[in-house]
Amino acid sequence: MLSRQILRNIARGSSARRVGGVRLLSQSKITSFATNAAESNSGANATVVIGNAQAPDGSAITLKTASRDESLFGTRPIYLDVQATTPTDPRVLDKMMEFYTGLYGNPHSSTHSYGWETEKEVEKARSYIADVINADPKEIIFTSGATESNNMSIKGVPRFYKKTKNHIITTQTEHKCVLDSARHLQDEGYEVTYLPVNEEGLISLDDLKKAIRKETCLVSVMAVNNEIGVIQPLKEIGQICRSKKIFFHTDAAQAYGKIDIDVNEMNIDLLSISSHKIYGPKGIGACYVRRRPRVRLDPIITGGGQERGLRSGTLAPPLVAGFGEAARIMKQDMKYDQEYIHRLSEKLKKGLLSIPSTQLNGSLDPASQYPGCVNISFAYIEGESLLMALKDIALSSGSACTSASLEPSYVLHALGADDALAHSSIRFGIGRFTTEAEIDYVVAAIQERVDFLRKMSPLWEMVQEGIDLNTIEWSGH
Amino acid sequence: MTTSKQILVLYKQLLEKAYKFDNYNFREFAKRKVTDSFKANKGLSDSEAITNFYNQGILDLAMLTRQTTISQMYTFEKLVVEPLKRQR
Amino acid sequence: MFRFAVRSVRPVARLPVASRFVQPIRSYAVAPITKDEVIKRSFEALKTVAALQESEISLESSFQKDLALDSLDTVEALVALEEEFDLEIPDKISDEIKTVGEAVNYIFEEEQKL
Repeated sequence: MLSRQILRNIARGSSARRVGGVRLLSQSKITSFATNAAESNSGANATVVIGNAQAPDGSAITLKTASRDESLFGTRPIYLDVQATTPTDPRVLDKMMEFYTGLYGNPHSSTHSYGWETEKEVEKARSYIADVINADPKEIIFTSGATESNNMSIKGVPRFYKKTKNHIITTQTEHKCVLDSARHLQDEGYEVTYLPVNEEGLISLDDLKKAIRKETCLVSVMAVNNEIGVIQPLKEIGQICRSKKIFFHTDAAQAYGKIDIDVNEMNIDLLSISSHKIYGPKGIGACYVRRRPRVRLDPIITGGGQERGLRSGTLAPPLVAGFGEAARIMKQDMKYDQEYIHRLSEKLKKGLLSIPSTQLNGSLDPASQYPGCVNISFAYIEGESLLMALKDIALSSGSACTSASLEPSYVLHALGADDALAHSSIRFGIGRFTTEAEIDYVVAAIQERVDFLRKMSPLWEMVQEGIDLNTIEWSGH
Repeated sequence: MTTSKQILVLYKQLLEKAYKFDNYNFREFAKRKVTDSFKANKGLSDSEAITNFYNQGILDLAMLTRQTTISQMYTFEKLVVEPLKRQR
Repeated sequence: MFRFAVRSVRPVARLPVASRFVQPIRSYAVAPITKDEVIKRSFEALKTVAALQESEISLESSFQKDLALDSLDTVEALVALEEEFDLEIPDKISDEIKTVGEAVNYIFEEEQKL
């Protein structure tokens, strides 16, 4: 007891000195800001209180550093990019740990109990994954992720039916891996129709009906868009496809477990799922492949004939079990998570749209908009420079897969946005682990920095003076 | 038969564990989830349902014990919204 | 040896000068915690409990009667206090704590023992 006391006292003493040192530093920093402010702002509103210092207009210091003592807070950015990937849920990790410790059998080993126990768990996971979309467990094929599932569906189905059919239909706002698979098919001689979308990002059912031909074998329309969160009318599309006996594939990477999907009610024949978008492990996904009426496809990976012969290769039980647990939790907590995400989303939208000259991208109809994805354009600001000014928030201006290029988003282009608007858009992703305090912080930080960047923008100045930017004749350069 | 005293003790233990996550987001989620699930099930009257709820809570407590330990072993920088823990 | 000692004394001698300009906000970390500090931090911790966010908290307020907490909320409040002061309130004692003041008194006494 005594030694514990002594230890505590030592800890107290040393940490106090350290904390004292930090305080000393930061306080003097703030004091110097304050004097700067008082000098340059002579007269005009130079009431500066130490500890709550306001830096002069236009000073880079206004970027939050002056308004609070940084040494009292952490430095890691807030994660608001759940469309790119989600943190692994501790409950999922807990399940996976069993498979990295005791349950290490190969699920395909049928001669001993190590194999049996793992196989049992794999099948349990499969049924959890099927449950979320009201499918039969036998219709779930494990893959390496949604990209593989999309490739498998979009290349596999037309290749199987190539003797009789040579046309597929998809949309302009699909994920890159769908568009790229379609391009590959074009190289192989297939014809592809890319459906346009309206300004909300939704396809028109009439366009779809018109695009269907006798040779059409597959329609692929994503469930929830990864950049703007718009939900396509899956049920109506499914109905049209079924009536014309065309297979309907949907990329549900962003939708699975987050919106209600019933593959039977919606007549979905193929559906791509990603585990790491639902707080599961990275490196695994699944493809739902309908059995009745049976969907036939040419597998991309062949070999030992696992997964109904559609995707050969030994399964990774830790990933499968983690994925299964993530799916089980998605279903179990769906309503709870939906309500929470909806509430934070409303708060975020309200806060950000109160900034002048901002615009929400996506659908205004709550039935066709996933609230966890909020895409907003801040006019007269370059999205990339706003992102640079937001080092304390992990955000993206579009899909992670395309952010290597500085090209404006093709999704926003498809919505009819011009280059400037597409460039000034930022996507905010809200998930199960986002907190209300984080949303409050983000709203305050964005308001502050948009204001700051606009003060430097000549365009914004002209707009404030009432000049219509479209009337300006820019001189050549 | 699960008594209300047992439920309250379990609730306290779960909450105490939830606070132990080093990861801010997991900690806040666990606190919210524990309180919300107990409040949502406050009206349970069927003794079998109460026992099931209690047993699930015991499993969750074991899970939280394991996961908070892991969270404390792998620590990362604090988030910008996180006040640094006061030195005691 | 001697030189070393001199060098190590200097910064210590300088410290009080600096602290005259900068008020050490965390004086309690060195000095034993004061009752006021316990009260202040207790109130802050209690404010993190959802059911107490709008409440007027005083030392006299009873958790169940004045603050209208149910048994679950009371547990939540006590755990918030436990976490703030990094101590554990045993079940026997937490059963007897009825008001904020009683909780504060218990915490203050425990802090003195450290």
